[in-house]
Amino acid sequence: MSGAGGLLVFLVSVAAGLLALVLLGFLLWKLLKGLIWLIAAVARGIGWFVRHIFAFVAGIIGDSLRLCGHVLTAMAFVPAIALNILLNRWSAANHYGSALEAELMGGVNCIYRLAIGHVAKLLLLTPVVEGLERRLPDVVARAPGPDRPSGGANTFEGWKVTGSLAGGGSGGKLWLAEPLPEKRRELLGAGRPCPDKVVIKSFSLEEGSTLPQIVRENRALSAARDLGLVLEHELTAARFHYVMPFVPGDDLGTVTARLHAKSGPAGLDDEPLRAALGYTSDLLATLDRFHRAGLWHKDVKPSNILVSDGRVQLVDLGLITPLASAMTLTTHGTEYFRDPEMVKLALKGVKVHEVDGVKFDVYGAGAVLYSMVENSFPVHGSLSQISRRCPEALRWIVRRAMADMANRYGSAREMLADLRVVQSADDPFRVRPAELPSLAGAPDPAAAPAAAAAAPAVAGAAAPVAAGTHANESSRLAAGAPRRRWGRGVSFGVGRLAKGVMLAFAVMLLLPVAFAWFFVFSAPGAGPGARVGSAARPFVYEMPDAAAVESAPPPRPVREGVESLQPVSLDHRPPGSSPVLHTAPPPAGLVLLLDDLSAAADETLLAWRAGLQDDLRAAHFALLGCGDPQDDATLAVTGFTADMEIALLAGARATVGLSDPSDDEAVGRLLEWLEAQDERLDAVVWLGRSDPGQPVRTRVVARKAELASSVARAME
Amino acid sequence: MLSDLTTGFIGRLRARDPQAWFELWETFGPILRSQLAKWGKGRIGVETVQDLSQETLAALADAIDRHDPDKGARFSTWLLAIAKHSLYGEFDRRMAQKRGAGRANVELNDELHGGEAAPDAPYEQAVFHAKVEAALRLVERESDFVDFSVYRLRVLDGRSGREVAESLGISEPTVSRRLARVRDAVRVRLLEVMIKYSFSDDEAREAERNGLQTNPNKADDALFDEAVAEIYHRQQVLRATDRAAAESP
Repeated sequence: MSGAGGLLVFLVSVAAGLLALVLLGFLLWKLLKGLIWLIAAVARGIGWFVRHIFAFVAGIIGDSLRLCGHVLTAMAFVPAIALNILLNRWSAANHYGSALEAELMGGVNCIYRLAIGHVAKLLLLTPVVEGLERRLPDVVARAPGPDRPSGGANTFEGWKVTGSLAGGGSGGKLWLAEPLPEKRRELLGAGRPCPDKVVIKSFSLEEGSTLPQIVRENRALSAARDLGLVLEHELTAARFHYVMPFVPGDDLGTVTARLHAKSGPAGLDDEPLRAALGYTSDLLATLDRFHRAGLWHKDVKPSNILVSDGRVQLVDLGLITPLASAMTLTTHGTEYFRDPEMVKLALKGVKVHEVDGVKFDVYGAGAVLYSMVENSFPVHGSLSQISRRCPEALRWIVRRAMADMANRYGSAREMLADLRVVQSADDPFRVRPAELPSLAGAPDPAAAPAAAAAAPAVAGAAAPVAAGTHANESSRLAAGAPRRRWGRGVSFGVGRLAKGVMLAFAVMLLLPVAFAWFFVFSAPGAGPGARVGSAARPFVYEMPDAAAVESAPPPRPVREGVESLQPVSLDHRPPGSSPVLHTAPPPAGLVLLLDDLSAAADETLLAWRAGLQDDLRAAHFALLGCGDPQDDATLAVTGFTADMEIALLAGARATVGLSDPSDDEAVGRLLEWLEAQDERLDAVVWLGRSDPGQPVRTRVVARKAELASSVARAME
Repeated sequence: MLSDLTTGFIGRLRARDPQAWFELWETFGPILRSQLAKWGKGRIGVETVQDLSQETLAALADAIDRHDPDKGARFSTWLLAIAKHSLYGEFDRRMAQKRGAGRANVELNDELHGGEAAPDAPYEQAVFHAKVEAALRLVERESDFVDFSVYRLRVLDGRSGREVAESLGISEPTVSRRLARVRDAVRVRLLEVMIKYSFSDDEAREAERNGLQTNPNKADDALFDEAVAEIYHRQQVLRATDRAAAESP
């Protein structure tokens, strides 16, 4: 027993000993491994430290040598500059001056790296100074120049220069100015808005501008003037300048950076996203206006878009080109926001009117939208990836705007229609691309006005619009190409057949109605001036041709295409909503006639307008803003002075800006403006059109629904 | 031996066809800028890099007339040699400005065979990726917009077939059909682009070596899509680097 017990004890002892040995070995192994890892880590650390120090020393030496090189080279340029100045060779002196500047900038960069960059890197503080060398020169480069032109503050007659702005790449200088009293009177007297601050863009050969720059700007100027973007301009032997209203605010690039800073690295949060959609919507509406006026902006990019009071303004008119221009297409524009296809076409030497400039602006708008979503520009062109938070439908819009020419939106308005669906959605992330009008097969909204503009009755002034904007689409359709209907290829057969049958059925039903309509309204009794609208559209007038106007004795000549839009009034406007139609009966009152037709009015239009005024007066309305002797009587009755009348007109004009009466947002602004005016003013009748070839539109904006209704009835 | 496609393209370059030059610039411009910025770091600024990348293409115009296919240089090496030549030219000019001396001309083929322009692996990869991107761009331009959108969502953005179908309001089988249509087009275009920008057989076979079977069976579709997506994303990174360089002073 004791032997067995001893054996057992022995075996247990041996086992325990072995186990202890194994454990010890394991611990030693782990310890050794840890030690090796530690030694390796220390060695790596030392290696890294040595490399770090070496990189620092190498950087210091390298940059010191580079600095010496820059200084020596810069010194070599100084005598060359001095010599050329002495020889009166200013161009050469300028050339060497630029080289000197480049060398000095290189030297400054070296000093920066020596004093801050390398030291920060050595101390592992790189993130603290990261990008400083880029941001600082950028801010300095964008700083305004001297606050006065060389000729003093009164260089530009009628304007007092108060400061300057950083110029763009067009070679002009930008001056901030205020109108002198006589200039203010002159502008208001002419019924034109007179902003408190303006920007004067000035080109002078003596100040470094070149002749091609001046020629280009001058060419663009006539287009800008047509759009009312320029208050005045002057070309003298010494200088060329033009005056534009000053738009305060930051450029869209800066605003986008702020939106992203507010949102975080994942992308725009809901509120900033809404803001971005609003900006894009404004931009597209502006572009649409340019295009309908037959113009191509050609340089749509964030730095040319100013955000002021939540609205955007497209600035820099330097590259504006008529869509129907016979000039050769150039590659001007800004990389990443310019369609590469345009460069290709320019290299081919095509003419401007041979390309669809509208689509190039649409590409720019898509790139701007991309830059807002991504906070960077689309370096990959149409293949650029959208990696930040973005609704699926918005991605679709960006890609469609930047797609190949044949697949791109046909107009800014078509893109805007898609964007508004996303913008108006409660949750933009729930909108599917399939729900967008363009994918759902809706026709291009720009097509209707184009057709109207192309109608023979329309004045020739509109020709560039129709020709430039829609000629390509029209010719494509004329050539038998099918209208693009996105996403419909799948159900082509059965769907198209069913639609055909339904269409035929509808035509059969409508034909008798159409015939009846034709016979009723072409009957002798109907005559020119008869109302041709239905109950649903009560304010459509028919305009006879010019000869008929002269011979017919109508109570008031009427004009084809004149469209009275829904009158609006303050008391029927729900907060934050669009204006509504009034229906109640009215009293008489004081009406301001905001007439935007004068610039290009023909005789028939003038006759129609005079008739309109007579009708309103016959209905016992006192009119302001008509510019005729009867106004004096009105003024006597109402107690308004001529200056007050001019100020009212100017204020109303400034409020509606470049819009036309169909623009609900402008109407909303006009309502607010009216609310803030003297209470004696009861209503505004706004006459306008989006461009000379488009139908004339009238809009009544009144304090009271009854009054609006009354004015509208008088206008019938 | 050069293929007809390559010969035709070189012919267009020799004839100074602006479209051909633009094509070359659009496809390889970012690589050249990236490479020149890498070489000239600290010595040349961004604007010089951009000027040089344009000069490189201008130098190509001269070099293309002297190009001898029998020497067996790869297209990528050829491009790189000319880029380096342009960079050296810039340095020569700077030195000449300092010394008041002229600039020595460097023969393209001297550069090539002197071994100074030996391309590294990342550069070769970048050139290959640029070719794939060029093929994608071609397909995007010639495809129906919805078709390419399906391809973009499904392959480049990595969405599921169901998600794509829901998003675009079409059925899943339609998604598959449209996807297949674009994928086939990508294969065809990829083959063309590879051949067009290749001076050697080895270069032309690069696609297959990188998992892009241009004559595959059905089972290879997923691999093909995956490879294209990966290259697309890498190319995005390269472009972003190019952009960052453009933004820096």
